[in-house]
Amino acid sequence: MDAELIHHPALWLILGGIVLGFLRGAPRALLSLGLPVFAAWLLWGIPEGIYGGMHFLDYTLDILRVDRLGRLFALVFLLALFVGSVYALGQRSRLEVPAAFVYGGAAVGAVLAGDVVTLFVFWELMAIGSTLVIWAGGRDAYPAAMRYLMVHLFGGVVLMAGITAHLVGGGSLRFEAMALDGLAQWLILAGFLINAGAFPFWSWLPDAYPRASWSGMVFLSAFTTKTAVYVLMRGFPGAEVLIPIGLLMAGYGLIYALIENTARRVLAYAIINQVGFMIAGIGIGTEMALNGVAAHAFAHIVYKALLLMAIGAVIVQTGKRDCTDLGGLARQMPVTCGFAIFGALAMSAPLTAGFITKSLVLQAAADAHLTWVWLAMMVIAAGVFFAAGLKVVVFVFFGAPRDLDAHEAPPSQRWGMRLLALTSLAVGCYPPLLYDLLPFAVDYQPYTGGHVVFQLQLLLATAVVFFLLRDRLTAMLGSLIDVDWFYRHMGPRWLKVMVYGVSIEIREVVRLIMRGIANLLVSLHRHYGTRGVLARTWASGSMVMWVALLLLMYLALFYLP
Amino acid sequence: MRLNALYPRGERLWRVLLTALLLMLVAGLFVESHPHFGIDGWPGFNAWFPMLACAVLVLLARGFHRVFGPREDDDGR
Repeated sequence: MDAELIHHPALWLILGGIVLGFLRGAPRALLSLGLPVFAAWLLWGIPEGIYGGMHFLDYTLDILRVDRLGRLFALVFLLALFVGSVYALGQRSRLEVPAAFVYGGAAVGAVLAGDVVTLFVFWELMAIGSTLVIWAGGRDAYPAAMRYLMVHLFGGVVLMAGITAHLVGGGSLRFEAMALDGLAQWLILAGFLINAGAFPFWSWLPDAYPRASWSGMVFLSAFTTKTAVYVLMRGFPGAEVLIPIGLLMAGYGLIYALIENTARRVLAYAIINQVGFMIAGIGIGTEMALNGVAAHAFAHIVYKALLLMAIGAVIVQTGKRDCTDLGGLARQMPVTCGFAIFGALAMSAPLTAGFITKSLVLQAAADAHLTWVWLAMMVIAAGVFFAAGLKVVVFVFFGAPRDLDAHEAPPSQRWGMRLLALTSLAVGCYPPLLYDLLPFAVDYQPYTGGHVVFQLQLLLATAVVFFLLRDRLTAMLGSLIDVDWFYRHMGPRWLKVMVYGVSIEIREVVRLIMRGIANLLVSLHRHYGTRGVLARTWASGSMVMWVALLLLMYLALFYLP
Repeated sequence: MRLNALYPRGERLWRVLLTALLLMLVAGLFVESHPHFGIDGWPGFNAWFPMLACAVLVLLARGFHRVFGPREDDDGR
């Protein structure tokens, strides 16, 4: 076994997470802040290469692979873990932060895994860690955590089946780009896509994440979907099927976010939207597109966590989660409101990270001359600012005050938000900070006069149309039936029928049949009854017209080949 | 009563937004653009296209709301 494995950041994070569970007070705070920094230092010190040499069954595993792509994702995860820990310093749950370290550690392990078996082990560990983070949200979160676990264990089974078939079929143990030429590879792709929140397995995300505690969703938003983006980048770059899959996710995320009432669920739908944007970018598959996706994964983690922190602070202060219960908080929580506005702008405004990353993917679509994909990505860029950024900020912090007793967020929460805002600003003002870490060399200048002006036009136009249509948005606020309705409501209903027999449902079925017959009779009577349409006295002119029409039809049919 | 009006600074904000958009539209005439597809070379494309897109999204959302909503379980609070 290689000696470098002792420097594996994931090992220290996971072990540290377990130790954190037994600590209290200052030691716990120190360890939770120190561990991500220590892990980043370790990671930075490992030279690029593949380390392993551990034997498992007939295989020799490459547990640690350090290259530009893996290192970038691991560093971003460590940043999210650090800032999340700062934000969660006031978290009373004894489970959440330790579970978040196991979860984040497993995510770091997954993006640094050199082979598919190691990847699978960390993949499953992530599912367990994230379930515990959701569970820490309280008693209400427990059923959602279990549903979340079921979906992810199912995804794990699909992935395991794919990996097994891949290895048995003579595929490489090393995790590298695969061609979609067999069932095994399709199963692996499906396993990855379930974690990314692709159709039809997307409703686990808005179902489970918003039930986590005020700080839990900050951790959750960073790791699972971004690890899925990483494995898709590594395993299936340029797979064209990813473009429609990604665009479908993005469209779904936008429409559902527009209607959703619960603020953090709006942001959950926006996660699906932005992950869809990234997956479509992976489908484009050029070096610029992949650079853009990796960079946007970073920008997205930063601005989404910032928005979630702001809403988390609001939940702590008011205990309310829905847009219809919130409003006018800008006066009571001006600093939090400022950070939320910055978070919304950081999606794509100049001088923020979102601007320099999103434009890379758009440029890649333009260079590949994919007109419809580029147009769809423009819709996504405007739509997510409209449906998530502006909506959450305006509905929560502005609008009619609700007489809520709220105070400014405590210092630990403000520091969490401040660090993220500074990160986004630093990268936005000086792009090489991020561009130099990307997997391929970047030959792109985001700050040209045209780019800046056109992006500002897009943002301002979106803001104008938001204020024109906001009353309509207010009228729509609610929740929609999603795919999970089938397995949460229709599934159990049919299970009951199967277990207890048809007898309990028979009355319902008979009632439906009787209603159908009655409707049919009414319809027949309407047309053929004594006062029906066909029983009326019609003018002979109309009879002549119908006969002529019929004859014309015959004529047309006769001449048809 | 308008539920989510940005009062009392609503009017001012509205004017600032419109003025800024107009300024940017004028600025757009003087910067270099590299249209790739033709349509993105139309004047003000980056302003009218997002507006149109967002309006269509709201219309689509209304349609979805009629067909799939409102949800009547613990999620449809």
